[in-house]
Amino acid sequence: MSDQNQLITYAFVALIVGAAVGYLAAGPITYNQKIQDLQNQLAEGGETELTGSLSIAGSTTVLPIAQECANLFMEQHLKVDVSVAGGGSGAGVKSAGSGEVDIGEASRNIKASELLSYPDLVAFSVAKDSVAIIVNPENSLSGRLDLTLEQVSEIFSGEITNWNEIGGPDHEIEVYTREEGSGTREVFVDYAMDGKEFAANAGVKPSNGEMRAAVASNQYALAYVSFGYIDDTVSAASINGVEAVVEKVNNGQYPITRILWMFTKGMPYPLEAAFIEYVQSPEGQAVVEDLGYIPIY
Amino acid sequence: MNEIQREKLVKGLLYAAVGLSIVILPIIVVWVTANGLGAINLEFLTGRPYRFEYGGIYPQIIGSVYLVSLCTLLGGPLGIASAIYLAEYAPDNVVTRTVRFFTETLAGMPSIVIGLFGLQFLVYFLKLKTSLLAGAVSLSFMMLPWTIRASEEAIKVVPQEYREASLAMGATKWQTILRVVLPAAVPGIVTGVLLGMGKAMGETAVVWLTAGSGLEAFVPRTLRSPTGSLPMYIYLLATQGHTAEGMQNAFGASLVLLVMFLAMSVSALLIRNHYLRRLG
Amino acid sequence: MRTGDVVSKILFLCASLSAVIVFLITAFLLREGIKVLTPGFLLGLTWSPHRGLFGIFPTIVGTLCVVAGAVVIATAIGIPSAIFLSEFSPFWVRNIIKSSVEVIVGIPSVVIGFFGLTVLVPFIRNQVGGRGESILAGWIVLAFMILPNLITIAEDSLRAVPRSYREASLALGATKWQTVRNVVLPSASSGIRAALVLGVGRAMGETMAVLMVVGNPETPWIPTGVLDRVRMLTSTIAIEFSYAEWGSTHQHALFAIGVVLFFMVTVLNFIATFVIRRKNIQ
Repeated sequence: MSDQNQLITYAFVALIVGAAVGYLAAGPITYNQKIQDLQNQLAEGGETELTGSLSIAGSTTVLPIAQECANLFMEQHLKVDVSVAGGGSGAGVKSAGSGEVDIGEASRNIKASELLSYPDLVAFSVAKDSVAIIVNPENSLSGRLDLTLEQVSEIFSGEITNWNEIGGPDHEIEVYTREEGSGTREVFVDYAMDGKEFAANAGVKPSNGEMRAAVASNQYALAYVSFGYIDDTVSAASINGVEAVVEKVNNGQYPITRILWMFTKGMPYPLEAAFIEYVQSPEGQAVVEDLGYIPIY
Repeated sequence: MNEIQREKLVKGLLYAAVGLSIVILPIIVVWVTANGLGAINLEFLTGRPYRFEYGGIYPQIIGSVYLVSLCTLLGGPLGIASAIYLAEYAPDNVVTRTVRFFTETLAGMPSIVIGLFGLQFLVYFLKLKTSLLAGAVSLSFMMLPWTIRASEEAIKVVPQEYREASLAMGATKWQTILRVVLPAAVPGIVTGVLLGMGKAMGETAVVWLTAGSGLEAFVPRTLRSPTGSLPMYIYLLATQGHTAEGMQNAFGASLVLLVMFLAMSVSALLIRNHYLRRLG
Repeated sequence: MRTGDVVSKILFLCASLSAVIVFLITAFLLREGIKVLTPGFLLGLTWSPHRGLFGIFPTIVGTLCVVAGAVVIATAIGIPSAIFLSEFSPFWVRNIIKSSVEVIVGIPSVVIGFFGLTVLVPFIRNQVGGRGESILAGWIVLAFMILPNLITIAEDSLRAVPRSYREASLALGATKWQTVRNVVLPSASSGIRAALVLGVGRAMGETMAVLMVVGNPETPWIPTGVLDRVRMLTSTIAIEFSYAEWGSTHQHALFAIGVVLFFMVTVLNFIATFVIRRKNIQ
């Protein structure tokens, strides 16, 4: 390669590398700048500020609430990083109880067996919620699907297998369920399964999001999700003639209801307490309501 | 059918087979680009994830970069050192064969098993918690055998005459390795390390269990902080995304991941080709 | 000279690091999983943790079904490709293709899984039947993943056959294809077999790509058709580990699955290395 070409190649490579380094460095630099600004602000105001990182994991039902509150919380406390993961209620109890994460989330009450393993869990209620059965909007029954609790248990246990047995098209009901560690599943089993086991061929989707995605993309699918996950890509069924809406849960007509929890291992540290307080505060509860759940007061 | 016809038929089948083999890469690249290009804009590349399916992927990009860089820092030099030993010093005895066997075993270890081990040993037992550090160390467990293999190859290829000439001039074995063999093997080693980095970039199972949720809206500030990563982000959005924007973000992140992966892999190969031509 | 001794000791320590890691992994896995590794576990027909049932036989069968099909497909495409690269292609073509294959080896599995989930699964659901998530989808996706490895190793074995063999055959009047079929392939056969075995090992360990397309039913059964959904050993661990309580039988069972996986892959690796060894001695 001639000297001139070599020079051009080196210049080109240097340009690309420089741009990449610039991009990668830009984030932390502007981030630190924001922190510097805030520190200056606070120095004038005289408040002590929160620092550190919080890891939260557990129920995918509580996940959207935690994520949204985390974003808002981080905007107000620039030196705090909050990481929110899913995994299901069981994972939330396990990872909080064993110290892997700081705050666990669950969409069901903590079980006695779990308290035996992790006796120092401290729980805080952050919202109310329910579970709805969802179907694809393209399904001919969508918008008018009404099931009795008995039918629900029969369908999800595999006793009823075809849509035409409940007034729909002639096709297999493609049933989905959550993973065993799911709080949503526990609640659904307690209220709607009448002691029966799920059908062996039910597809396991390990999060509310995947349950919804399965229904949103499949005309013949049937699944259950938290109220917070109902949107216009799916259609919720009524149970015993009662619509799956917040008012009917509040007045007791809709047969499924539950409390959403956040918990810590032992009494919460200041940062953890601050975050949980935020979720329970009017600001946090406004988020709860906005996302489709039910505020605790 | 006579022999000549049969030969032609066979050749045709072979061409078809090769065509099928290499058509994977362009198909995936085109598919990801076509669907993901629309997501790529400044906001996407510098913003943070918001309400799961919206927002940008800056923390994920940085997280992946940090994870891979740290894992290379840990697995690279150790792997090269191991390779030097295996290629230059190891006598042909049971101990060496055992070491080699274990290296091969580690190379073939399923990524989920490594993730499981990382979770149990690093996150839980050593109390590192889900963090950048735990993720990077676990990734380096995968990186180590790749680096060893590639470096050993590169060292073996260095002509024996180089070593003999150096020893003949009075240099010690270690001096020979340091001043003659290694410099000659550097391109091969660099190629191997870059290819390993490309693979580490796309590792999901390990990162899933050790590094963070994937949807972090912040850039990790310390080693103990959880970190997002591109593969986790893609996995979460691909399986749970249900809006057009969410899916497009998944494609956009895939495109970014592919670009970074291809950049590393292709430059690895270009380096090797360039130096192969030099050696003649 | 003294520096040399010290140096070689240090380097030896580095090299034994992989051994240490593998040893640690084995130790941890075994310690947690050994209690559950009974014949009832391996041959049990029902996996239902909340009922205390931990039988992984259907999962093992499901895994083997997906792996077998994928290896067949990858072999059907990969061995001819390797033959082409080694015997029938001009130098520059081989260079480009080999380099591309080396790149493809590292493609992020999550992107392949994404492709499978978004393109393959709906295609199978609409054109073939079932829910789309199926053994069939697993075959295609897994074949993608192991194909490049297979080609690389097979091609290396073919190229290792001495030139003189080919030249002798051609000198006797054989065509190129006859030479390949009757001379080159048999000589490279142990290397090719090693490639296949290693491919099986790689396929067994693949997690992400198959997880997204293979279905994960509530209680896996022994598959009877290509459209059946199955659980894989790897995906069971991936999905269930996050919530299995520390110290519970469920968690021990998951570690036991890890042990089974680890054991099967290591045995396959050993066979492959042993098979290659034989060729070298020959």
